[in-house]
Amino acid sequence: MNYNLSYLREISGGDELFVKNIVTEFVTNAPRFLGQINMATAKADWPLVRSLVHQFAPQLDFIGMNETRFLADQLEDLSKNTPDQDLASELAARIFADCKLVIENLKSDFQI
Amino acid sequence: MKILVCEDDAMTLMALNHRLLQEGYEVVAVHDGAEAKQKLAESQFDLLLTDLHMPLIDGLELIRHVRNDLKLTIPIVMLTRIGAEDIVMKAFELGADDYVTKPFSPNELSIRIKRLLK
Repeated sequence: MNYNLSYLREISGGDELFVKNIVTEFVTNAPRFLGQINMATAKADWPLVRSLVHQFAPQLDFIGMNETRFLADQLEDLSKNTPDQDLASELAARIFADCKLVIENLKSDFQI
Repeated sequence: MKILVCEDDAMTLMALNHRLLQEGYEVVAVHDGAEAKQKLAESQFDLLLTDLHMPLIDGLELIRHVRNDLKLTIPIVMLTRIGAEDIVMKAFELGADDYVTKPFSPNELSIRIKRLLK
């Protein structure tokens, strides 16, 4: 699992400071969201899971984590009803693991 | 030209703000519909760019407020996810002019805004 900043660079118009600001925003805020998503999933609070994933998922577009975005969309769709707890937990765990790895890579690559 | 941008996702708001500033627009960026209502009461804008899915006051309520309460005719561009056809149709019925799907294409956004501001 890695990231792809080509979309972010397209938006940036060549401004690398903007790219770093967005990356910093992700590195700073994603762990909070991921922790909340895991907690809500463990409590089977599906409306909260849905709301949190809906808020968090667009960030994955900017970082170019397309596969993880697909998992997030699946979790959001799943949480519209009363989903299988194991499946939802597995999706949340995979999203968490992907993001954790990418955050570590971004911190290293951008010296954040 | 002055654009009011209303988007609850911080990263998307940063990206929109950055892109529109680069294109020479004056931008006022807010995180929710209540703040947008306040800005609309305080000053004039040439265009409103608003997310549709927001907590508390959503994009539909904001569009209704602009068209029915304030009686403003400024162009309104919606930001929405692919597949949100129902809500997009409601927004058009309330008086929105155009929409852009997220994640947004910077070139598409630019062309749509320029067209409406002609």
